[in-house]
Amino acid sequence: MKSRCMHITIVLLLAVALTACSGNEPPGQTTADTAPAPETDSESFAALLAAAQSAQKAAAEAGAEWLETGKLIDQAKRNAEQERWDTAIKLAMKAKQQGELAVAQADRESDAWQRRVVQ
Amino acid sequence: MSDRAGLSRFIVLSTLLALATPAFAGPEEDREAFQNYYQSRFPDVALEEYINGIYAFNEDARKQWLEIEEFPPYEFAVEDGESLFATPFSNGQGYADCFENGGLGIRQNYPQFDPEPGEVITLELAINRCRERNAEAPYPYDSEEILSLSAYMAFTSRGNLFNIVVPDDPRAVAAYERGKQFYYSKRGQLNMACSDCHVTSVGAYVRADHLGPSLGQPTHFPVYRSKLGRLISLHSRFFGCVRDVRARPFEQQSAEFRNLEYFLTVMSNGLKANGPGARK
Repeated sequence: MKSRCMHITIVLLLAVALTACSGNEPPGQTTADTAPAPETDSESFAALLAAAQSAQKAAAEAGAEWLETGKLIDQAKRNAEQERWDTAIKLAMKAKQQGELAVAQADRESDAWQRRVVQ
Repeated sequence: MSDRAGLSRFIVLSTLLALATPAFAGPEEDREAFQNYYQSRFPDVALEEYINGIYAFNEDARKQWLEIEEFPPYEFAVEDGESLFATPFSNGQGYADCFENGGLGIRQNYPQFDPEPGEVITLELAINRCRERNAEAPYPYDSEEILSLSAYMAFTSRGNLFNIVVPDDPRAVAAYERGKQFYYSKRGQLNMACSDCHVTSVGAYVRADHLGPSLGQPTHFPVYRSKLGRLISLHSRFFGCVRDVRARPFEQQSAEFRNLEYFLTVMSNGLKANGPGARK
């Protein structure tokens, strides 16, 4: 009898523990209610544009900006103004990549150029 | 035995270190190595011929060029330049008052390091600074006026030898080294350095033309480009090259391009001034 009571107690305690671990939300709320709201296209673009402009600036400061980067950023902005978000985001991404590649190129070349000097 | 092993290790390591460490030669050593490179690679081309660029390498192109030079397309620009040169400023002074030797026969002295602003001064920059000192508006660097003046002053200097000195001033040495670094650094989306075309690939056929050597390149500017129907400056050519490798070009007379011109002209020391030139 005593052991049967103990078994039931253990099962009940386990059940309570499992229920408690299933979520952190206060009673009455589900997981879906507390997840962050998905970014809008406009927000995604704004973040990517800022990153692209920052990468362009870094490339320019290194004296290594590529020819097209500024034009890509301008095109991205024009597409965003017309809410063509897919295109705007793709163009901003391409501009960001160009800026980053240009900075990497300048970093690499800060030493590499010496190996080409005619001796 | 252990002493000998240690000595051997030391010799091997020192050799490896010497090979791995780039040699920081001075301008004169750089010039000698630069000129020796081309002379070794193209033993049939006389050193003094390098001022004619690709026409020193390609007989057919040379024949066409010599025919053009009988009635050179830059002739009118030289005449215009002479007229502009002789016209006094509003205050009565003239270009002759700004330059040594009255501004004639001095092309081979540029670019030069000016200790006063602590930077490299090209002939075109000196022309505009002369104007500004005399309360005249500077000319845009791609204007007919400045190119004609430069063409005239180059014409009066034909045959004079370039001997650009990099003075013992850390700012001058730094400007020279920055020009050298620019020349050998890859840039742009095409990831190319000036040396890729004008050292490694001289003679190769690229973009419907043969690539010319950097040795002797500055001596004949400004240049009349047949395809454009007008004179262009050396910095305009730099601008085009940097754009062609899909890098954002620097402006004419920027510090970057003045330092590059400084380096390239030192490399051509000992060659004759022969501007203005005519090219395709």
